[in-house]
Amino acid sequence: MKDKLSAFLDGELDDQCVRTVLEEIRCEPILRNEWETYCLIGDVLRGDECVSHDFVDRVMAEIDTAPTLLAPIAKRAESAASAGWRSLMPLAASVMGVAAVGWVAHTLYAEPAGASHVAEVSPRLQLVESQASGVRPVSVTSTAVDPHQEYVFAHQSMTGGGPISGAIQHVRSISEVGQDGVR
Amino acid sequence: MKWLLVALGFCFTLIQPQAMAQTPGDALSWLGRMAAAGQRLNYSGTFIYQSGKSFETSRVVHMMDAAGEHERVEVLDGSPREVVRSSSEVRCILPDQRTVIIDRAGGRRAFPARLPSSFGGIAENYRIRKGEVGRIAGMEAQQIILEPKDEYRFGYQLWAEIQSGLLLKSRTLDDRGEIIEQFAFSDVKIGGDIAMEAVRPRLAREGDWKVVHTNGVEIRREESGWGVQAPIAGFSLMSIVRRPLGRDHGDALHLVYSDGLAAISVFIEPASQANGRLAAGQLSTGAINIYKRMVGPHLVTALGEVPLRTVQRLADAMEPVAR
Repeated sequence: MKDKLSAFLDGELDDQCVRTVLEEIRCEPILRNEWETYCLIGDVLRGDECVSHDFVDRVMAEIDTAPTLLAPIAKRAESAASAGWRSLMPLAASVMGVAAVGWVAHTLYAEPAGASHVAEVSPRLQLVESQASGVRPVSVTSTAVDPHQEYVFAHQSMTGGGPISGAIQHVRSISEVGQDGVR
Repeated sequence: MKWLLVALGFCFTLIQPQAMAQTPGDALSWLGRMAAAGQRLNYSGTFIYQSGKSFETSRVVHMMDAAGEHERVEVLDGSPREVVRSSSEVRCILPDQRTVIIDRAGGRRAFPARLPSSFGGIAENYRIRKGEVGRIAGMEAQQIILEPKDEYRFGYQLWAEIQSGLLLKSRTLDDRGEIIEQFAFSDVKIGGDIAMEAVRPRLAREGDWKVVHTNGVEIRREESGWGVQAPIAGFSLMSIVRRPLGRDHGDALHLVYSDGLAAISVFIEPASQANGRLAAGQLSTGAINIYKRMVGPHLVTALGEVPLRTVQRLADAMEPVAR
């Protein structure tokens, strides 16, 4: 029934079938929910809903970032039965659509928290993020051992460290600030 | 009208030489005040360390008693790390890496070495002047500007608290005037009593830790077996120490060069498989530049809070000499 619903949305059904589908939608609450979800996705994709001017781009980017998640499911379904695969596609699309809407809403309404969420989801985005941002705090999870730590320490304990004196200059020896790029 | 101009001119000739004579000396004396205040005063506060585009917040407590200086710095961002320093020892505690690095005072060398007592070298290598009086961490601060006279050193802008002379902010600038490193108090309390408890290490050490002792033995210049082909103007050899640098390094010869403000360390150690992986050209981390090269079977590492060209030139000039 779901593939008929999908075909109906695309305007590919003849009059007889349309009547059957409409009847089904009226009677079947689950199907009605499906229909509403499809319509919402359609509205959003057409830009009828006030979401964002680059919504489609962001959905496409989101789909690009998650191909490894979708491919195995699609393959399994295909080997089982092509009919099953066809019926899964609209479901997958609706899940992706809803996920994309949720993601867009999340980034729209929770910008600061959203940034770190994106960084967690995709390492590629994290890279872009760190290049694009200006002054940024140090990564909390950085545990890389700096191979030059002992050299810097010995240097600082022998010298005045420029105008900085005392233990303050040793912040250079123990800082994680300098490690995330070049050292 | 004429007599007014003459009088003004006369006054001006009286004032000008005085002002000219006062400015550099005055700025130099501010450097002396800063060095003394950093050692003698009790203070505690929070400061931000910025290197390139990243920054980190730390807390510092400094105390002076009959036994000398006691100091503790704790990094507040990221993994917990601390530096605990007394008159006889400095240790960096890095729980994340299960590592503690310790250096103890020994031999003839004053510990820890401080801003040089003679500021002559500074005036030779930097143009030094007083800047504006501004406000840092809620306090009035005098700005001191040091501009390098050649391309082998960085420039500095320092802000000292007017009453005590304590350094509240320090900026290191490259030859384009870009900030490459900055220390700045955001909040500081100067004076008052500080309990001994506040300067004791807080991070617990349990289980198996890597302990790196870097205590050096000072050796005579002629015993080192190394020399510089073409010295860099303004930088002179201050001290030579033989010191261990941990498991991966073995014993290294540590030569320290200084221009009165900035310093360069040159480490010379036998190349091995462990340290060979580090033997790759140049690296930079904020204000500290690192340059490595192989000289026969030796790995030479030059680093310091100077431009890359300076460490590179010094490392390239190092050569073994007949004893």
